[in-house]
Amino acid sequence: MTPRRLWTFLLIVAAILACHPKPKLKSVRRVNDHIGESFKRLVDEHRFANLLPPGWTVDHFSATGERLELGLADTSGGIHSIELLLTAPPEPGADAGTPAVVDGAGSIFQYRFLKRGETPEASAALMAAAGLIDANTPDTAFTIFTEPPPPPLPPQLAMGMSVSKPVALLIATIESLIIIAAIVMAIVIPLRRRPGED
Amino acid sequence: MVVLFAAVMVHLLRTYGHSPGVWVDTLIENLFVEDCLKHSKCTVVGAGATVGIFHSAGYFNWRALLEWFGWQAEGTFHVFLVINALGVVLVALAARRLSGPFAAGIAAILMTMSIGVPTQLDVISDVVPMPFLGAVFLIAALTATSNPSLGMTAMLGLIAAVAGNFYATGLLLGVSALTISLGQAQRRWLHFFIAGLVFGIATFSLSPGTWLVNAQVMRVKRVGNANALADHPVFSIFMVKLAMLAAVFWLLSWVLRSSHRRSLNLLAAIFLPLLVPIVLGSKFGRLDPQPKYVAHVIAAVSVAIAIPLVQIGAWLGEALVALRPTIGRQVQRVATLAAPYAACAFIGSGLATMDEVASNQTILPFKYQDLSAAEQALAAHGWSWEKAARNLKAVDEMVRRSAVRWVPEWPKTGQTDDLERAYLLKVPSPMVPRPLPATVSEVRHSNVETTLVGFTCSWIDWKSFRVCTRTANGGSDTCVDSGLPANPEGHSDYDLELPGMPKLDARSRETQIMTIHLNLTPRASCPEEWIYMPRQPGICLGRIVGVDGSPAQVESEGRWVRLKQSEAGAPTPKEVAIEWELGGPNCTVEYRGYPPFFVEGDPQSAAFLAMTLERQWEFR
Repeated sequence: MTPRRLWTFLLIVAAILACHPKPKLKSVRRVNDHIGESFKRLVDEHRFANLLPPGWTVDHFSATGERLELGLADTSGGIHSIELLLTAPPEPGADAGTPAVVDGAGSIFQYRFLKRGETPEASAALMAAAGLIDANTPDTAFTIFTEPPPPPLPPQLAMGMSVSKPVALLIATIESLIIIAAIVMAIVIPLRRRPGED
Repeated sequence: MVVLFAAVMVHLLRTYGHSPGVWVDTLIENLFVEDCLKHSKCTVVGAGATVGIFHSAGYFNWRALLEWFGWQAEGTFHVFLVINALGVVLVALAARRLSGPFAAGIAAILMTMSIGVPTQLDVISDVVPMPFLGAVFLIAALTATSNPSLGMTAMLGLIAAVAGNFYATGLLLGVSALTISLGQAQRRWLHFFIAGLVFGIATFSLSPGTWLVNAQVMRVKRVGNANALADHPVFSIFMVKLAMLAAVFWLLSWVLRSSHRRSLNLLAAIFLPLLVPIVLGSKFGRLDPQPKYVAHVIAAVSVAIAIPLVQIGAWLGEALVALRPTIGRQVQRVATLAAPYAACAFIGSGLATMDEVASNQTILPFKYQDLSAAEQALAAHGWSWEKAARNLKAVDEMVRRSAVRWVPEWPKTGQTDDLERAYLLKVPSPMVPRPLPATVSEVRHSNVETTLVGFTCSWIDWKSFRVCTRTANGGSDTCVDSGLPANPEGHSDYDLELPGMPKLDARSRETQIMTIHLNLTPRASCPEEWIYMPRQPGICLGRIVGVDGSPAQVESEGRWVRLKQSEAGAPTPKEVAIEWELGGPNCTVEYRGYPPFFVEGDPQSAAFLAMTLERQWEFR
């Protein structure tokens, strides 16, 4: 083997890699601080108070990434919470979370109760409050990232692509035999000449 | 070669012992192995890598095979040491065939110096077999080029396929197989075709899911792990430096028209397909280079450096002979005879251990044997697995998980008292106070280190607690109920938080304030409860913020609280609140979605544990 051949081969590989189409970067959007301002305005304008059953108040509100959480306190101090998850992608293929259980949907968010078995009164209150937030969330409340944040470790354990134990052990045995055979062949076959000598 | 193998084994056993270290990746691997052997669900996809692809399915199946044979943690670890020692022997054999015994000795020393912590030889991981597989590929490539046959070319493709399914960087050996086949003197395109065909089919067949999923992954996202949390400059990696030196030697061999240039071509065909992308990838911001990526080229690089060094030595020898013929010839003769034995002695005496190896080690890391010894002590104390899962604590969350997940012999039933706690500590032996308190068991001891299990009688029942989070820049608390589950399922440890615990994106700059509200259960058997928040690296820095909503009893800026069961007329403490700043400078990688470590229990035991932790840190 000559360096010319080696370089030619490496150049071909480099050219193939260079010509390979770049994967399209996804865009994702996340809520930003404006969501808090928007929420505060709704509270200041007593929009929730007009919507909720008498004596009910907003207990907490938080926003992170693709989700909001709203908690309502009933007249006895019990807390009822609902999650709002961003669903409408800004472009095809964008990554937006999809809740496993959907209790309702607005134009921007899908809603999910954080506790099963809410009473009809609490469910109605939570849905109404979520709908109010959904309808009053401005476009400025989102930041679009042209590159996604690093993906979480994929759920490979749940991917379901597996083989049975006998098949796996057979594969592992084949791997072991390949390595053993390679060592035996390499040691047993004597060297006729050094590499590249004609 | 037998002597060399023995010398390397002596060196490896002296350096890394007989028991593997605790390592997060081992726990993930164990889940795959357990799924395979217990549930007959063996992955053909593998695990996710930081660069965004999946790999190592072939390795997981191989680990399952080892366990099926009965080699569990320590058995598997010994297999890894043996194959690495065998790899050194194969490298010496290749170097001897190419350039004689001197080269064999130098290559063996270089390879022994290069395997170790950088190739994760102190733990069980998918990287560990890679230096061995690289050595097998090297010796096979040498045979394939000296005795060209389509069978041996196919064998190169097969080895590369196995390596590629053990660890993703092994795929580059496929490029090497193609390059080497293209360098054959005759029928090179047929060799090229066979190497490519066998490599492609075998790689896919051994774990088809990996490559189907990776094709999908690469279609939808950019692969790479640049800007990782820990930056590793490419030229800070010892093996990359050696590979660069090997590349220089290879180029010089052509400039100087050395007789070894064809041998170095073969070696360059193995290490260049790794060296070029790792250097360019890190320079252009696509890759965070890590020592483990270069594991499979250690063999080729070792030989590629040994051969020119021997050549240089030969030139010096000839010069000596020219100047002092008698002495020069004697030196040459003695050196040639003694070189292999000197190399063996050098390796066996441990001189081939690099300082870098020691400096990479966390001080007093836990090993499997510590966990196994702790399990025996706890079992003797009546602890079941379920109780340990909820009540065993360790400074490092991975140690706690490993103790619960990795040790197989835990009793299934036992005590049900969920107000007793056990703390697992490993401390330097000279600082262990004697006699130990009655509540502390010494489960392992050597002149250097001691493993302790300290029991405490606590007021806290971890079955239920309340977690509140808010952003650091204000906002109201979001609170949820949480608790340590009775029978946690293994997969719940993997990349998941305990239900209710906040998720932390370590790359985000936004910090969260997490407050855990713990109910207190004072009782006659433990009339006092002390809580201590350690302040040392590796532990999420937390502070006690109040008891029953009041900070009155909290001492030392949140480090201590000393509670007493109520006396007549005094209120009984019911709840303690402890706060952590997640994502802050002292609680980012340390946080693993589980309540962070602190000490709680009766005064005597808590004081001993607190003192031991503080003295341990001072001792270090």
